[in-house]
Amino acid sequence: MKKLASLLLLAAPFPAASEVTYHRDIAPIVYANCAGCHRPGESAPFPLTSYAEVSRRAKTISLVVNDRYMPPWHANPETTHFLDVRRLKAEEIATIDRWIADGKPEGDPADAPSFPTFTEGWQLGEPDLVLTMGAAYEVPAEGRDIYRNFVLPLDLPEDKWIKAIELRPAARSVVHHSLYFLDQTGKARTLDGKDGKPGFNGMGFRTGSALGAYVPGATPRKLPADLALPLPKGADLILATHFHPSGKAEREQTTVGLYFADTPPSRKLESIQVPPNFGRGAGIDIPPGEKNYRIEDSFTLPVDVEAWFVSGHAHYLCETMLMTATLPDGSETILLDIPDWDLDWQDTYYFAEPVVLPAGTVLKSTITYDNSSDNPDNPTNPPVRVKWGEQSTDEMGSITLSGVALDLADATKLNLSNKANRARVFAQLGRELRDGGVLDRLPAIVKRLDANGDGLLQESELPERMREALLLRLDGNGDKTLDASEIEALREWLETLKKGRGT
Amino acid sequence: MRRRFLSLLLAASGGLAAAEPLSVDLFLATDCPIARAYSPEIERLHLDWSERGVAFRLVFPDRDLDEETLRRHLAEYGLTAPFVLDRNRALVKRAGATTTPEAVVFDAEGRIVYRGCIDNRYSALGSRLSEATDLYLRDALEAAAAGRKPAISETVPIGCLIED
Repeated sequence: MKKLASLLLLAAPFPAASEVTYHRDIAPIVYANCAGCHRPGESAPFPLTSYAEVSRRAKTISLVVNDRYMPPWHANPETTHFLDVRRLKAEEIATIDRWIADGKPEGDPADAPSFPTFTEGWQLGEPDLVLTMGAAYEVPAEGRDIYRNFVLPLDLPEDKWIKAIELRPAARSVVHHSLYFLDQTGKARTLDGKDGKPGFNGMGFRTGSALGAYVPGATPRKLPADLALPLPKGADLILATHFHPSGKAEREQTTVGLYFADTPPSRKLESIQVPPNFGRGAGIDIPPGEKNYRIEDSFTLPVDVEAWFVSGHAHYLCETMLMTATLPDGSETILLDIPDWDLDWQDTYYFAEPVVLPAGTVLKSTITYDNSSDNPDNPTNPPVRVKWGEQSTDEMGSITLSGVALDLADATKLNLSNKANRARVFAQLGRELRDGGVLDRLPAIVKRLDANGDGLLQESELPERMREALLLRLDGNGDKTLDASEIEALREWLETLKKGRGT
Repeated sequence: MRRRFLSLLLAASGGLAAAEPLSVDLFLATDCPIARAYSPEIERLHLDWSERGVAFRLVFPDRDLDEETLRRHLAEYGLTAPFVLDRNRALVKRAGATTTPEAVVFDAEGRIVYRGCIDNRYSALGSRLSEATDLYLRDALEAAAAGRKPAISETVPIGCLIED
């Protein structure tokens, strides 16, 4: 009897119990990892919600999951534990391939999990304030990617604290991502629509504070605990949106929802960039053909820090990003490991649990670039020398760790230390000013920059690419304006630089 | 009428008209983002080369697609070339196509002259140049129209895979 059973088992090439079926084995993977975007009304190009929709694209699904092109998730989930991970396990990919090899059996619908209940509309609930672009922006059918900044006037009567921003594109197929900034200078309003179209060009509108980003597929989140970011009255919200033309002309009129905090936060959220200033001053200068160019930078935490989330920023040549934390006891933690950086998917990664880093912890970023023609993402072929800059063909590189001083009393110390770290960029700025011969022409340059002729240099009148560093270095009274005494301080600084002493 | 006149004119001038008529099957899918993104270039190719006697055909190897939906898609993306729904994959098999978008050029005897990408705009899924620098399909057509073998007769297509 026993013998007979074994013979029967041997006769069946795939015993029924181990057959991979859509409903039992594939649907749970697809529902959990794909259907959030691949369903009607969402950003993905086709739905994956049923046997018919999945089986008719099975070969393409196998291609993109094996390639790790989909689901789009670039941080190593094994070295760091994150929330909302959208990455398939190797076993799940093997299951998909086995199912295809077996002829895509459907199986019994009774085996399928119920289709998840996705929240329609605003994922974070009804916003406190809803803003829509005043006019639609026309995205042509084809051509280069477009980076365009849109101004959404807030006209807030009082200062607010912001917990989250949620963005809803009108033309989902062309809106690739959107970064949020605040403009307190009013400059963005004056640039808006000058070329006859809504918004204005330029990749690096970074005068104001960064407030996060919209990336398709990413789960919108409110800042944890009572954390919130300041939203001063009079500030405008800037959307720096990246468009991919889709093959037909589209019109984008974005709507954003703002979520406010009821009370000011008890602690200040600190964003520690390593290297600071998106890598400006890190000496990025990548020779053409260089396959493994590397920048490194580190920052020592002056106080105990509780880290909540981490994100990276670079352009097309970047290949890998790594941020490690070496604790005072010598142990090492990996905070972010991106083995295959992709500009198209710039996520913010929330730690599964806040990471506590004691004072004396050394944060170290290592960022690598491939400027050879073997890099399929190289925007220039044949490759050319690439330096730091705000165009998509320039490079940047930094990793930002966001968190708070564990002890409220340490918040100021952390803030000052972080500011001082950003100020290291003065060395680079100083070299540029000295090499540009600014000292000899200073009065003429000041006169040319002073557009409104008031004898002062307002933030908006300073050259954009050195604005932050100039103010950080020279704006002693913090009024975002360089007055006569501060311009004199610039002259003195340039004199010192000319004599080759210090920065 | 105008088209025929032009072909005659070109033939008479002994210029660029093909020694033998060429034809192009372009394998496409209505829901493939890369196939969609190529729509304007596909329309230009069709307009440029039909003037020169090359027959373009848009092939949709899709069992679930109905003609009305397809016509709406073509109108939406501005595609005016003749189309065919290849439900039983007969044209896919004839051309050995694997991907959308994929271009296959045939000579008068039905021999494959070129098969692969339209150009080098995409080098992998998610990796694309802002502008193509190698126009594989146009170059292959120019060569074949002049009676030469294309310098590049096969490239690896990038896009969505055609299901069996």
